[in-house]
Amino acid sequence: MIDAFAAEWYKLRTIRSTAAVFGAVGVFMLLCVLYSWYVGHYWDGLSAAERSRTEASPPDQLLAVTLPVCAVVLGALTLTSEYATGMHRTSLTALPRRLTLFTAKAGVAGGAMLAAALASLAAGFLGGKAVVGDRALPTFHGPAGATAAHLLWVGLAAAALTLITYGVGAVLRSTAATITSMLGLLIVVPVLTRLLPSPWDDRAWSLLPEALPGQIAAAPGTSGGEGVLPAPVAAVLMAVYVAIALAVGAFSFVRRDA
Amino acid sequence: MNGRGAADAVAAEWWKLRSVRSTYWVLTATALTLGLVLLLGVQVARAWDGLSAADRTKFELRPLQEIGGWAAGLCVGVLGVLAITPEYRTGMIRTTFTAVPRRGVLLAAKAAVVGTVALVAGEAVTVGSLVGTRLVVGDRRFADQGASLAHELPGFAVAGATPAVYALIGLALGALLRSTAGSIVSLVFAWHVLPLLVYHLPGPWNERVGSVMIGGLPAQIAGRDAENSIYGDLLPPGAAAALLAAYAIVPLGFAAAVLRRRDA
Repeated sequence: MIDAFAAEWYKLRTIRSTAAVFGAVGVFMLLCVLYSWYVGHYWDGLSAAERSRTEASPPDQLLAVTLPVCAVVLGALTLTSEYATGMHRTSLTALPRRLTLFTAKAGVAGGAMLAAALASLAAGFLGGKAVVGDRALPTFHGPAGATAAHLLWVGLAAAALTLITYGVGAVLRSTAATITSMLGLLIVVPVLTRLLPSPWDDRAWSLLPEALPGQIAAAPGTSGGEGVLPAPVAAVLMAVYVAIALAVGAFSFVRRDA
Repeated sequence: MNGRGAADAVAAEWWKLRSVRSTYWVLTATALTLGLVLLLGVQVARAWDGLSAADRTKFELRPLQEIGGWAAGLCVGVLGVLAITPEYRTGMIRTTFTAVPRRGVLLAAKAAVVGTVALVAGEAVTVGSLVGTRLVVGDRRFADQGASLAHELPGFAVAGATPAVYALIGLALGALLRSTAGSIVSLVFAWHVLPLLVYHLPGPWNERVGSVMIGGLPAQIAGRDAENSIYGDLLPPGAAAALLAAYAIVPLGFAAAVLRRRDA
């Protein structure tokens, strides 16, 4: 099992697409800091009355929006790129126990995404906070505990999305199909749920993967209130999505012909 | 190469597109967006029945009618990407270049085939969303549905052309990047993420840059304002139409230039 993890880790860190994905994460982290600089600049030009009405997005907002896309690409390419080249047959020859291989890939991809997400979120948030300094922006100066919880859950949601996409990729075996259907789920479905008549629009939207971290731990200082699920239910739902996707993916990977 | 060769290249690309499975998956997904719009239309019509007269005047059908073409843009954009990147992945692109050595002609043939299919699919979904939702809601008088169908059709027909633009951008991205994953993600960035980021720019730049985003062009061509959208409305109709055409042609021209210079 340890060898399988080591092999998958070696694969992950030697392919160009991994560098591209994590490079994109790094760029968006820098953009978080740039955004914070702009907000601080904007804030200085406001009157006291305008300041009390202004609600700036928290510094990690940009990452919270773009991390899911990066997570989807990483989760898809972990398995589908091997199907594209036929290399999965070599992998299965080297490691015939398919469940072990499947677990190792999931562990490495999910772990790498979690680490990258948490590191970039922490750096982006702290960098943004340092840039705005002592300007009294509520979304930049939340209580440390609530902020940490919020960033942790945004990071966990990104890792969860990597695992969900990985499971879907094991079923679809195609990069294009996996990335397109997952991005469709992330982008098109929320818009469709918003068109439902109230209260079904909120109810349906609350169940979507991208709505879960905000319902578990909303960003401190925002008006929040998006979504109707209590925090524990949203957390369980996230775990259930991951479990279902991984179970279906593992079943497909273990039982189907290579 | 003479005209005969170009026609043969188009015939070959049409044969390829028709014989791969992914085409049918993509077109099924495109058709599904229309189905979803109509289903939501049924739901919206039911909700409308339960509203008070005051609430009814605020309830709009137009966002639902426009969503089908927006989602179809992603579907046929992927069709454009898949018209070329799988050939790079399998190595088949070398066979293709051997058969049609003039790369500009090859890319033009691919563009003609993919663009035509995307145009038909995009128009079907966009116009279908307008006509279909009108049929579904029947004689319920939504506040924003006062204009006759004939009056609305030209605007929706223009909007129905934007999916084809995304398909050609997808083809150009595929030719430039040669990677399915990279091209699809870049396409999604151009289709959704970039307009959202632009919307969050400080004023007046959000309106200025928002006016040149692809999604905002059909409304400007039709001379409508950008109320309730993330786009701007600063362009006159003629300029917006020219820009929409440029979005289709310029990336392809760039891709053709790169394709001619680059190794297979």
